[in-house]
Amino acid sequence: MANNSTPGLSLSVKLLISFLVAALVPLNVLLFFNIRATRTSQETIGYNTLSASASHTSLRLNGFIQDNLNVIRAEAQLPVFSDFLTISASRANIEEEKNQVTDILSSLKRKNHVFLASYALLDHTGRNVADTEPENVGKNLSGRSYFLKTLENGFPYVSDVEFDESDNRAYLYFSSTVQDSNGRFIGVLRSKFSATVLQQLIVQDTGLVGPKSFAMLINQDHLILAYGIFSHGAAEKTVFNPVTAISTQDAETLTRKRRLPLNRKAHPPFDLQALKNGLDKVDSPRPFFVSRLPFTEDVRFAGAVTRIPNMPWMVAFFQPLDVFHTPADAQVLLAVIITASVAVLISLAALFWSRYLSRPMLQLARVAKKISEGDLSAEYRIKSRDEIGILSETLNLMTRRLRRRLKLESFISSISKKFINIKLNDIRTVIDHTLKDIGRFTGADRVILFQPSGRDLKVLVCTSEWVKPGITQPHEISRTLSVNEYPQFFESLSGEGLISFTTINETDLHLAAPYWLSRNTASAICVTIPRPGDSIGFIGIESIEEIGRFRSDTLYLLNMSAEIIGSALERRQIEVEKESAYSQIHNLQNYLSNVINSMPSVLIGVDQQIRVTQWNMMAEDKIGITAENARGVFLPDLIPWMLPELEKISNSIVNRQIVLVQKRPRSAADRTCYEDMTIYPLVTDGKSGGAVIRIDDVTEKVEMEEIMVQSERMLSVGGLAAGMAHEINNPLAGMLQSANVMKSRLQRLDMKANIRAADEIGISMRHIREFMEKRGIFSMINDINESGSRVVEIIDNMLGFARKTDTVTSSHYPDRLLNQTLELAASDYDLKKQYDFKTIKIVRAYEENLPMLPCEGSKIQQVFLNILRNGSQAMHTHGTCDGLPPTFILRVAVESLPPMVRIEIQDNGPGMNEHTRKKIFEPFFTTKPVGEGTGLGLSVSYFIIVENHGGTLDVVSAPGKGTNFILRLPLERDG
Amino acid sequence: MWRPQELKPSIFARISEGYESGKIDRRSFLRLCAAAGVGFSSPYFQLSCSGDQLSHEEDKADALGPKSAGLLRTDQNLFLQDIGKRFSNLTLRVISEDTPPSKATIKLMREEFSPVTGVEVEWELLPLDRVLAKIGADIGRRAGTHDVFYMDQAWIGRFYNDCISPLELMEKKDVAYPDYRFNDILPAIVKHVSTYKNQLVSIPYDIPIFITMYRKDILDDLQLKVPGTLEEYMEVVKAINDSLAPNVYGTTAAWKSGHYGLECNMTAWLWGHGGSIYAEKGQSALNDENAHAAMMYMLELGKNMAPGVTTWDWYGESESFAQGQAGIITSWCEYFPVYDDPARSKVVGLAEAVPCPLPNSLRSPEQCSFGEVPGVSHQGGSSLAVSKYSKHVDAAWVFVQWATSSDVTTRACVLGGGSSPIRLSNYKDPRVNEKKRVGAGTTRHFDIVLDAIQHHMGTEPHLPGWPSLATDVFAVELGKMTTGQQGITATLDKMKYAADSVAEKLQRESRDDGK
Repeated sequence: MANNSTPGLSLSVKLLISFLVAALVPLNVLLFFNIRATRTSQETIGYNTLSASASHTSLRLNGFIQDNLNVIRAEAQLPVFSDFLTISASRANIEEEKNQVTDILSSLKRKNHVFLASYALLDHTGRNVADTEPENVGKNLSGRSYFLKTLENGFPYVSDVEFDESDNRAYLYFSSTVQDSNGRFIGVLRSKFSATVLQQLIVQDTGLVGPKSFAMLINQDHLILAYGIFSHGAAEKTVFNPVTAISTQDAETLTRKRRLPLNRKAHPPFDLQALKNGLDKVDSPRPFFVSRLPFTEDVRFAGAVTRIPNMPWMVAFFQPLDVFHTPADAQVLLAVIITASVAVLISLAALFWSRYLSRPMLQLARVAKKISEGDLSAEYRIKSRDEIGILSETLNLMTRRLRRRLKLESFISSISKKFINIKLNDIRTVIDHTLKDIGRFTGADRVILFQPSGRDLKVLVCTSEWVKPGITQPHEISRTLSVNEYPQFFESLSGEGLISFTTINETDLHLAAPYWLSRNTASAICVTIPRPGDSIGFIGIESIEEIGRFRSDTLYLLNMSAEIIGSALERRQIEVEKESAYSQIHNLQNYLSNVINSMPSVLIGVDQQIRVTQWNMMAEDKIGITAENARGVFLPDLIPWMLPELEKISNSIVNRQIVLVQKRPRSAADRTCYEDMTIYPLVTDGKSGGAVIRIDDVTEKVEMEEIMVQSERMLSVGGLAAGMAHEINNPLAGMLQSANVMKSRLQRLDMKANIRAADEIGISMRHIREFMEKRGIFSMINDINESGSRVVEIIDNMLGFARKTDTVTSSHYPDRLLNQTLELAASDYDLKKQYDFKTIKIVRAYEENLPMLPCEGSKIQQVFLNILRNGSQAMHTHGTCDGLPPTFILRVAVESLPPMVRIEIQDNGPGMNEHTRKKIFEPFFTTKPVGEGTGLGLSVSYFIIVENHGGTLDVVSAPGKGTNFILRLPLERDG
Repeated sequence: MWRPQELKPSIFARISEGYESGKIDRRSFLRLCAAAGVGFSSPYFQLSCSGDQLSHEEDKADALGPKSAGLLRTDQNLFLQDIGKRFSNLTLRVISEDTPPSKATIKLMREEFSPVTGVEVEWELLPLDRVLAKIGADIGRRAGTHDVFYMDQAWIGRFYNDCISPLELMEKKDVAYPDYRFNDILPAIVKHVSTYKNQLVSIPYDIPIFITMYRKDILDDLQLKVPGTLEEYMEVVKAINDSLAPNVYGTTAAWKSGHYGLECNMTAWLWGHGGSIYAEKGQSALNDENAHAAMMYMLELGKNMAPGVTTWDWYGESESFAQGQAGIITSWCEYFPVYDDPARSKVVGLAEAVPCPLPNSLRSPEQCSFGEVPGVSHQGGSSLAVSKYSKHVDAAWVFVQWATSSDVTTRACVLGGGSSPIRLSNYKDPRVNEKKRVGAGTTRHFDIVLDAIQHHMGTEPHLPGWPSLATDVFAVELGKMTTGQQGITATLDKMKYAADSVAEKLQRESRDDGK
């Protein structure tokens, strides 16, 4: 699929391509055929040239042969030879004549010293009778062709190239008959040429038809006789070899014919079948061929072959194909260059014409593109009256209209923008400005806006008007239009929505003519201000003097302006209503928020996914997360300890049941808090809509309840103790008294009653006492006394729990009480002995001018002593928390509201954990080893301060932080 | 006193070039020469030296020397005029090889000698072998057909008895050419070209000599050094052939069977390998191992030549190099100007001349016979001799003096396309030196030529049978060898046999003469 965004070919390119295709295709076809014709003709010329060269070489060889045939014929006619042969046939001693003949033969030989190997004279039997090579004289040469053929034909004869068995070299023989004066054949004169003469003749034509051209001489057996190849050494390796492999039998036959040397060295046969085939064309009209040649590697040659007249030999002329084709290549190159030049010219012409033709279109296209990109100022003037000119004018006209329309749209847009985000209070002002702008834009003299007066469209009131400066307003202009005055006008407004006046004298006179007449209006257009279902007034523009002043675009402008103004007015109405509704909603929201936020409970609204929807101020305080950050967050992500309650919340939402969880314990930083959680499912439109979770911190309440329980317990203990003390004291007193009496009666030897009683039973007191001592009776009695005394002490303490009934209250300086207690403690045996109280550092921090404190001094001192004893014991037993010496810091101060004396006794002992701290005021709770403490000291102290004196006793302690007992005693006591 | 170095050299070259190219006709050329010849110290000459427009008749400069007979009122001019009174209307017949300097001299003769003297000169230009044949016929008939004949250095032994000794002629004061200065002719040339058996036979005329010429562009491309020895020469030849054949063969030669050029080529390598035609006492040394090595070297070179080389004489040899078919050649220095001639050469400016490769060993002249002087720079000098049978000896002698005078040989050299002249003054002449640049008739190889003449010249033996021996035997047998008809040994044996036969015959004749 083509991508629509891919730019297409431009017109100029298309034109250019068209031109080029139209021009270049035929040109290239022409070039193609021209090249073919050129190559063909050049090839023909080349082959003909090769053929001519072959003929030239052939003729030269033929000339050489014919010359020598003529020479030998002439020489054979020398009388000396016939005379000698005649004499030799008849006389034995012919040495002198023979020498003479031999000298003549040598002279003949000198005409070509280089290649003429010998001259010989043969008699009619073929015997060599004289020879320039004396060693050959006497040989029978009757079997040689030059003898036989000469005899046979009677004409001079030239042999094939024949190998001589004497030196195994190749020679060419010329022979002619020697005749006597009677014309009888009497012998043969023979000349012997080295066959290398053929090679010399051939190489002379090397390069005859250009570079690397050369000839080859081949005999009828396709044996190469001479080879003018330019490659050195190739000739001597090539000559006397067949162009293709021959059989051994053929080789032997050729050897017998002397055409191949004896003992011919085995030579890799040439496999030049193409050459052989080419040579076979020698008699054809086109004896041309292409072939490879010996020792030219892979070079291919063009060749032409011709025969040598009167000889069975052929001369072929060759040239490497690349050289052979050079003229054709040059011609082709020339043709290509010419064609390319023409193509370039055509291309330039095509480019010129394509640009000439396409330039106006391109410029038009550019203008159109600019227009499409919003540049409506772009115009293109073309003077031509052709289609492009018409197109240009049309485009310009369209552009102008577009400009006007755009201006109109821009104006409407500017009007529209004025009403965007406009404040309600500014709408009227903006409408006034808009009327002014409309008037200026349209060139109107007046612009008016009528709106209904009231909800029914009975009366229209001019709510806004703009008058062109300089226009005189008629006096007493009516600013209202009532339905009663202009019923048709009102109908028209509610119907077509358009009243157009081109002149007040036309058919619309009946509508509101009086009104317009009263305003001297010549042209006017009124359009309704639409509202869904009806209209909310109209806008009219007027021209006082010009009839037909306004055009369709003015009407369009007016309609659009009416829509904008109508929309603004409608929006204002909606905004007013919406603002009122928003205000009410806002007030309600504020109210509800205040209610929710003023709740002392944590109120959290969640949706069905347990995401927070509501988060009151208490929640912010307690959880430490603002409502803004909490909204939309999964509740456990905000309050991790709510995770176990998810199921309850979900169940509440699903089951639409209120779930209450009371006194839900929660570990805070250093204490346990207690909360009541109530889950209220929300139901909206009969569907589950989440839940509201209310969380109340009831820690204080729980603690208060615990205190209440403790107080109740204390009170019950006090009552119990008083009862028990009363009931126990009496028997205990009897028991202790009896024990003392027993001891006295058993121990005292001088007591008369004892002595008497002993005497009565016949035992001495001393024996009795010894017995008692031996049996430990006295010790037991002492134990009874000690135990009894301890019980008495317990009873005394228990009596301390008893409600004050007979307390003696007096005024004491609290600091003095504290100092006295310190002195008592320092002199207390147990404290001094066991805890070495004197080593404890005492730091006093008393306020000055402390008031007298109404209290029971001994009791308060007991409380001080209990606290000091416990502290001393703890610091002694467990060491100090800060590594410093054991220290008591004593603070006494006055608090004003309510007026109380605050007494703090702080030590730097090990401190207490939470559990211990909570239990220390419970009776019989002790951390001391069994037997060392009663567990009543601090209970009693608590009872004395709280119950007996209406004060408070608190302890602040944590492990490693020491312990601080805080006593508050009221300075004023009821009653 | 005229000082050549004061001349503005370009004037000569431009006049010569203008004349050669046909821009200046003969008459204008002579007028220019004559005008400048009035005197170089004259205002007229000063003007001519500073003139740039050859077409201005007044600004003529001259290729003529101050002692030119072509200048009015010079001694030479006056001499010829005076002689003309004696020989006017007389016709001299001269025969020489058709060479560029001969052609140039003929021109000068027709424009200067004949007009001044009134002596007509019929100068026949023929190929060397035909010159030999005609001279031989003339001498044989003792007809005196040719008053002055051209004599190749190889023929001197044959014709020395048929010439009038120049020494004898120089005794004739009435026909002594002014300021001829025979001693100016290079002694080596006199000794080896014009002297036979210590007798001056003729006056040296030209001196073709072997130098080595190479294609500088090819050697540069193949990064080959200019060869200095025979081995280096062979390496360069092979390297070129291996790289560029068959487009450019390693070397080329005149190896036409039976042609004298083949023998000349052979002697260069023969001498370079320490061989010689003859050893002491007239015995041929052609079959010694040095000769054998030389033939092997020669045939090895042949493997790096175009196959047609066996059909080329020295014209073919020159042509093959001029057509860019060979990379290096050791041959006649006369070829070199051809290579710089755009009309005849495809290697203009590409050829450079250097001395011939140094010989492996060199047999001393004393170890040879018949005046043979081994040297790779085979010389082919020629001379002009006054025929013993001339009927116009004095006129002929005047002509010979004029033709071999310093001024004429210089001008013949310049006009003759840079052929090597015979006088030392020729090589120093500014007219010659001005042509030492690439172009037709260049003389930029003359330093090499002079060096070859003076230091490396090889001279064939001089004996009466030498022309026949060199051509009819040596060139034939060598042709058989180069065309593969016979081997080195057979070739050398036959050559030695022939050489010995000629020597023996000569010795026999000498003995007979002695009796």
